[in-house]
Amino acid sequence: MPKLTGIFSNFKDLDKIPIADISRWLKSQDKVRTLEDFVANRMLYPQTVPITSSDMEVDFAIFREAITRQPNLVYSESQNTIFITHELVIRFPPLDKLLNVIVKSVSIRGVAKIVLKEQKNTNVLGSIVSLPLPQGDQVTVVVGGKSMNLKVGIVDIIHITKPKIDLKIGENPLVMAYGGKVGVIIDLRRK
Amino acid sequence: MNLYETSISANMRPRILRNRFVHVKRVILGLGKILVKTGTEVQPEDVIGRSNFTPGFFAINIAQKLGVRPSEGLKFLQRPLGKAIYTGELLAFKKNFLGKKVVTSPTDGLIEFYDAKTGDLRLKYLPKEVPLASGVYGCVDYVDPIKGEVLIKAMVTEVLGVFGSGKERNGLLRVLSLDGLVQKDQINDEGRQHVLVVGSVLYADVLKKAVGYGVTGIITGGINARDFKSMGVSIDPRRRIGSDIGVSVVATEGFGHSPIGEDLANVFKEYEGKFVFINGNISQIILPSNSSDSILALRKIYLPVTRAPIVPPEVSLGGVSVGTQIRIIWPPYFGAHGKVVAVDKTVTVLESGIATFLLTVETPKQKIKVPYPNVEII
Repeated sequence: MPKLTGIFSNFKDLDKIPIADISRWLKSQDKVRTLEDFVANRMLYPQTVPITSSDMEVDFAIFREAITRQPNLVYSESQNTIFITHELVIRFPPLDKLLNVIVKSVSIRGVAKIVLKEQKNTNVLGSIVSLPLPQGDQVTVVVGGKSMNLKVGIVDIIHITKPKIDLKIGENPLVMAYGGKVGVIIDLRRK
Repeated sequence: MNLYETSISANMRPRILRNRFVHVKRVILGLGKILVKTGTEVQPEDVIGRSNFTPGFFAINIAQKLGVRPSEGLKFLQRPLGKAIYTGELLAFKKNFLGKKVVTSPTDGLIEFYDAKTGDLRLKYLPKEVPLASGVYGCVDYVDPIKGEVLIKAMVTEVLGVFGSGKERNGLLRVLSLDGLVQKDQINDEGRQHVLVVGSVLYADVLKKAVGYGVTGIITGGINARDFKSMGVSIDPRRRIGSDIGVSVVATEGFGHSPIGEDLANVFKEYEGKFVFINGNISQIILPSNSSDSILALRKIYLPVTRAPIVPPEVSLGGVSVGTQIRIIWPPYFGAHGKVVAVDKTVTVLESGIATFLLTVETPKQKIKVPYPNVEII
């Protein structure tokens, strides 16, 4: 019989994620005592939505741990593409934060396209670029001929709407990145 | 988004199903005899079977009580191994210049075995004749004399929770609390063979004590997820086949602290002291009709006898509009019941960033606004 489900019904084995793995992402530890009940109720009522920002913070923490264990929910390794659904975007707003969490949870190499899958079509929102980094605290990034120095250790977003753009990070060869509504997310964290 | 272009739906979960016709299973314990046949009409107090049942063993450390080495305990036994002994009779005796020590039997039993390494004497409880009462008004539809099973067609009220664990069991219903916290010292021998209603949350210490005292079932508003997992039970609603920890548990609302909903609380109050069936694995409680008139209705009903596993009614999708009765399934107001008095025509962006339609719900205490995905239709 049809029924309302939700993003959380796609996650396997949520009950097996150690609570400490989820709670480490929370700014406040107030909710830790009731965190196991929270996760269990999410599994029981996956269609429910968080009302408060602190509940949303917990949902993001659960999502982060779930996709670390099941990256195929959002990432196709064979196509090197992040696929996000309209349902995911409306359930985990804002979009920038959602993508930030995905970048930090899924192991991506090179240039991965970000594609939004809607009911009738797909849209390229941009791309994530993760390349080997040189020594030092800063790296030179050239985007569409424009050079900038960015701090190593962070994830940065460059808002570019052009569908394709040339990009060079440090001494790496020139690559072609994809722009769009989101732009180019450059992962400058050392791994 | 405009309401007129979008219809509001929510999940509909059946909680109380009245005047249902089901087969209830009654099984004799141990070896025995079924006394009824197919077609017999029965009342709750009717004995439908008898069996001889040995409820297990009891151990008493003779050596410790006599103050002797375990290897020497056997020689002080006053009744040989293999013989019966009754409560209060002399079991072991030692006398010397320091005085005497007497051990009497704490129970009726068969002196079965003495362990010379530990000093434990094992007594097997004597078999008792146990009558099996019908427990329900109904018609016998099927008898299996080899398995000692009887299926009785009965008219019942079916109560469905949201989560549970444990096989089908039965017992007299006792309400300890509907919305408070039951402590472990409230669980005692009076709960044996009972199905207890324990209030708003179930913790492991209460659960373990209930198992120890032979409580057959526990009904609670909420379950503490951490404690439940520590008992080896999966809390994934998709993996609930065949778990059993020695007692059947049904949660009516969810996980964490949540009073039993008013709708179910009223039913449990109505059935206090009555014989009920509980199946934790499908979160089901069967409350047989208290009226002998139910047999009149049963005579007109044909219910095929089947060995197929029971499938609980599914959660389905229903429309939400003004007047719909709902239950709130996410904090705040988790577990509250009310009626929808208004449906917003435009979306609201919540503090969490989620954009959704809100419902105005009137509960017995107040009017509140709730996102529509956070309710279930009842």
